[in-house]
Amino acid sequence: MQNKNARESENAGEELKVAIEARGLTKQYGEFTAVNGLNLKVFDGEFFGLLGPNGAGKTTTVKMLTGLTKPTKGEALIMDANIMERPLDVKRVIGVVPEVSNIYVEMTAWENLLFAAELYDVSRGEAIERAKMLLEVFGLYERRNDKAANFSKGMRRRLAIAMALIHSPKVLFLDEPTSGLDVQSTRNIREVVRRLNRDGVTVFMTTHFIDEADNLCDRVGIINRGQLAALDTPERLKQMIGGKLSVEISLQPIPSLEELKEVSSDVTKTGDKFIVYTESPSTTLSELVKLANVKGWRIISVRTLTPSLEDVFVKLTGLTAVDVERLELIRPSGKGRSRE
Amino acid sequence: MNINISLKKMLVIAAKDIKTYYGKPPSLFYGIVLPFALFGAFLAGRPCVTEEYRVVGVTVLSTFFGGTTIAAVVLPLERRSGTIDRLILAPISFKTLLLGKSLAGFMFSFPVTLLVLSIILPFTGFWNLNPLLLVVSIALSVIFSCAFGLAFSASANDVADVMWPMNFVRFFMIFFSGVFMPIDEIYLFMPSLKFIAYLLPLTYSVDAVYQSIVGINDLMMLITDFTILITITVMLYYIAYRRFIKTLT
Ligand SMILES: Nc1ncnc2c1ncn2[C@@H]1O[C@H](COP(=O)(O)OP(=O)(O)O)[C@@H](O)[C@H]1O
Ligand SMILES: [Mg+2]
Repeated sequence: MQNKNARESENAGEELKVAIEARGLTKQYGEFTAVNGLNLKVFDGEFFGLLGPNGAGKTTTVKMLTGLTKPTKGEALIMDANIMERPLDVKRVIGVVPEVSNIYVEMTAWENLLFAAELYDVSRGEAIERAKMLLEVFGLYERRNDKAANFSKGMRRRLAIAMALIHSPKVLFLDEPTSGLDVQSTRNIREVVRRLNRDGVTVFMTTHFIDEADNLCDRVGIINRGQLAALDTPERLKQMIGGKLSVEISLQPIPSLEELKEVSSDVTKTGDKFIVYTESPSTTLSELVKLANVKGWRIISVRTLTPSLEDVFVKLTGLTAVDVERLELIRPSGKGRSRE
Repeated sequence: MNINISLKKMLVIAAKDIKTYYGKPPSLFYGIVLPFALFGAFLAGRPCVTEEYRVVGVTVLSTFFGGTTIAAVVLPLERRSGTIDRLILAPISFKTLLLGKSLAGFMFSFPVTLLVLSIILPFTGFWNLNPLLLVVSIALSVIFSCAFGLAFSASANDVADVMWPMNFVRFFMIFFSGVFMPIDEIYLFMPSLKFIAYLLPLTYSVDAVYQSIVGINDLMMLITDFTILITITVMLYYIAYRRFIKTLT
């Protein structure tokens, strides 16, 4: 709890312990640059989210930070130890849940957990105690003697996370932990991870769900095409796009983006609607009405919006809101744009 | 020097492999079908090859096929399922990881070979069999075979990608190393090609097992056998290590 607001104490000028640091991390696959000069610091006890669309470089970043792949350039440090120079020291304190649930389907949930414990030198007694506790927390205790082959995708994911926690890691990496899972598993995972973080575990989570980043993370880094586009608290990110408000308007017939730029240069199109960013919604609104009258457009709907993390995301990644929805970046159940 | 190898973790990995691959087609084949096939081959062996030579052939085949096959599947299978990440992320050195993986091959092939021999030997004359030397020769041959399978598969993503090239090399080696008949007979009509046999490590396995069964007839050669097998095994492990590391870049 004490580190929960890491960023606040940074402002107070306190010395903060850095749990994860990326220094110019770069990964090239042939000519293609998957991650380009990534710099970031995650503080001890923080819940950090790396948000980005598919192919942005999230998995590659996690792989470089955890020693699964060697960076082409740059360094990754965990608790001040370079992963390439002191791999075993680093590996002892981190827990990693890769994108694909890496469990042994031929073994039972229980055997999987005990195997993970042996790899990490957890004593037999402690392993049994922790395995029991973790299975209960993840709702798998009743199924402990079933082969993992019979588990659903959500159960496999929960088991993979349980295995990553068997040695009580100080830093937990999760690569899209809830992607493609049922609602129940998603809730369970989010709740457990949130609780772990509250108990002091540093969490580095990648996600392409905007609401997940917004609801769980202390700070969010937005990554697009291998580059960090922004990094701050969700609230500050929202302010960052000008602290601006916006007006959403739907017109018939649908005009072109160029035509609306007469009102403001800061316009994006989302589906059949336009979002006009502005300092003053009332002025913009009257200008829009005037323009509509001149052009003979009918106003179907209009509302003013406060910025959401989605707006930040759309703005920084250059994806349109339609893309965002198509890429399933927001869940149907997700927190939408709030209405003024 | 800290060589960073943990015997305990090796055993943890090997035990897990045996648990997970036990009952899968390759292990069933090499654990059950092969011993019986080899026994049949022994009984039906060509009369022009002496009985003790047939025992040598069956023994070496068992170590070589069992060791190479198991060691060649354990890594690709984990790569395909993504579970290899768990081993790479664990606080164990890559040397421990690879040795643990090949230990699974050893724990399979070694007892199977002893089983095959315990079936066959009662039907034979026992000759001047040296049990200790035989066990050591078999163990060495299995370790060499595991290193061989591992070197082939260290960077492969799929079992199929390994098997074709490995089978080609395996059959070539088996034929030209004197597994089925003494090398003098293989190269009878082309003695100038006999050097091929001496380039193939399996030739030294064959000789070591032969001398353990019929009695030591050439001590210098036996020492050479062991030296060469150990050297080649170390080299193969080094190749496996390099290839494995390369997959992480
Ligand atoms: N082993 C690889 N070889 C070549 N390209 C790769 C490899 N791994 C990832 N990439 C590419 O790098 C980019 C980033 O991938 P990734 O980190 O998996 O993105 P994300 O996890 O954000 O979806 C993608 O364009 C992907 O195709
Ligand atoms: Mg990914």
